[in-house]
Amino acid sequence: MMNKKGFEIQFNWIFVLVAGTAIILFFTVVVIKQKNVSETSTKATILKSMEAVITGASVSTDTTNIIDIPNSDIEVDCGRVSIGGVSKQYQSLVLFAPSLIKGNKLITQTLAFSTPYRATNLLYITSPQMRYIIIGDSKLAKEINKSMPSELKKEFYQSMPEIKNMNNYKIRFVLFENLIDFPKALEKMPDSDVTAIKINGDSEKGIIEFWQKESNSWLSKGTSFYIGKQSLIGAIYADTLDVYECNMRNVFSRLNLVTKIYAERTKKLTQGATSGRQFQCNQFYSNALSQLNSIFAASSNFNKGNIDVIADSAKSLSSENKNAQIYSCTLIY
Amino acid sequence: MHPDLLIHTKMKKAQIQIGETIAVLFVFFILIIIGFMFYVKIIKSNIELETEELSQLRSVGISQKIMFLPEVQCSEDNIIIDNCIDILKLDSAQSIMKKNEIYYYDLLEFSDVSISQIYPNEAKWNLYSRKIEDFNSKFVTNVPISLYDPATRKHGFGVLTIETLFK
Amino acid sequence: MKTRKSQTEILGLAIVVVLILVATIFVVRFLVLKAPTEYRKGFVSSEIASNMLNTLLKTAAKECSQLTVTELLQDCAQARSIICDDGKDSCKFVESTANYIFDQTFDKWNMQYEFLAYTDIRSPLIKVGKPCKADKRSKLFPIPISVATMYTKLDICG
Repeated sequence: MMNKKGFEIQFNWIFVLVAGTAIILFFTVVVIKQKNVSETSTKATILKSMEAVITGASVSTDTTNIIDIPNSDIEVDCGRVSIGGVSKQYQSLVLFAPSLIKGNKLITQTLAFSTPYRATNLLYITSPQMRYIIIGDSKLAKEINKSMPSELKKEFYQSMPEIKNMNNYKIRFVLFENLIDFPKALEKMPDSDVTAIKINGDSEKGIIEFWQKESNSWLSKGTSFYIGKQSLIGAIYADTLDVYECNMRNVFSRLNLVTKIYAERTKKLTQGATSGRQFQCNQFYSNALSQLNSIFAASSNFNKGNIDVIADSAKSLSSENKNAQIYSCTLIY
Repeated sequence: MHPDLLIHTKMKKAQIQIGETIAVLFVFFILIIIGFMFYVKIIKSNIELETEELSQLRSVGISQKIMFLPEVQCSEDNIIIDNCIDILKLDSAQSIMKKNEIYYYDLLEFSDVSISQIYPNEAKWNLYSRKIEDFNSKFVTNVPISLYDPATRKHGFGVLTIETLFK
Repeated sequence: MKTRKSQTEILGLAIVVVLILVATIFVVRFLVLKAPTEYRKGFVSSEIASNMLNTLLKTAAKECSQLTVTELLQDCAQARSIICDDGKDSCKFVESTANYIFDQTFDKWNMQYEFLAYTDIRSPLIKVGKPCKADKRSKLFPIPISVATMYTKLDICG
């Protein structure tokens, strides 16, 4: 009798245990699933904001925006933007940004890439948590400092200051003179988080050297080139040589397409000018056409030689356009 | 009462109690499942709503991108003229965009872009066309646009038609 | 006595259940089942209203010595000295051109509109389309003339 009662009580406990476990298990599964769904949804929301930013960049130039997003780590690579496991691939995206954008705010800036006609818009994105240290005394250094948004965590020095660690997740040095000694205060930071570029050139074109921290010194990561202030600013935002060059290749392929259109347009203007007895205009158009053809040929590849050709042709084209304006001809661009 | 009968009665009572508990649990889970189904249905309708809104936004984005394409936009000494398309650029843009359809897919996705001149003369340019058969939503956007002829330096009246398709 | 008390309790419970049900229906109707936001409609109507007027005013009339619609409207509000190739004066010509363009656009897109050009709104110089009965998106464009300012106004209904 006692045994039977004991068995009944034990069975009751076992029953409660099984039923309780089943209920807890059920709700745990639901909660975990819901958590995953919610996380993916947040990532998708951020990607959507990024997409909107990218669309906005192609329709407006010379703008700066601050965008609030859920706190996240956005990884930017050549033609790819990803947040956690969610990513979006682009074939010919022009987006200059550090490899990792941290925080709940994005600073975006757009500038037109003109040689001298607008070929595309350049989009720059960064985080207000990233620190930019600009060191230089030249006119170009001052211009670059002015061109970068005031919302950035940027510091401008004419000569090497004493650098303190202010706990930023990344630091980018922009050097217009000699390479500085590696600051002692930053020695403990991870190597990939402290980078520098050294600029050699003017506002038209020049050479950029990419550097990265290696324990307590600088390690050269290679050399590239810029054409115009806009691409130089791109090299400041993009923290690796690969990302910068990938973006510049995309810029050049768009320049190639747009130049072809301008060349065809100028050809038609030449034909129109002949029949319209505007021989003076015709002269400007044929000069412009040869410049456009050389830009078209040079934009097939991003390298130093082609940059020199484009910069020179752009200058000549600009003066031909001015001449066309003076003689009341239809403008080339 | 006979002891065997007493045991039998008690066993029966316990069995009924267990049956009751199982029934309650069964009803409980049924209610949870019904609630869950309701929740899933609402979530599904919200996702459909978001997809619709997203398609609309993408359609607006594509329309804006076309209006600001340097390949067709008018400019005066590199100063952009809003809502204006250069006719001389259009002819070459038409063939270049067709040749580089994959490049422009990144910008214009699955869409059909054409420009029709209404006044003073009638003309039509098909700028880009990449369509899909199994689309879920389709939007047609018509935007009045100025068509500038640099040769005569006069503006005509045209309509930019953008048909966007989304899966 | 006991039966009455329990009946009242059940009635109270039923009322609570009904109230919860009504509240749930309201929550589902207004919070969960939202109507989609019409982003595109807003963009399209604002683009159409502003672009239509800007584009129309810039358009050159080949039958009127390539004068723009703005120049023809200025003449329409002042001397009415311009006579186009088809014998129409500037007012008549702008009216017929606007009619043709709107016929090829708004009418094809099933959109209601009203276009006015006036110096005094009570007696418009040109009037095309019908007035909007309810919601409308308006675009007003002033054109300077020697004596005053004339206005062109385009209302798009809906």
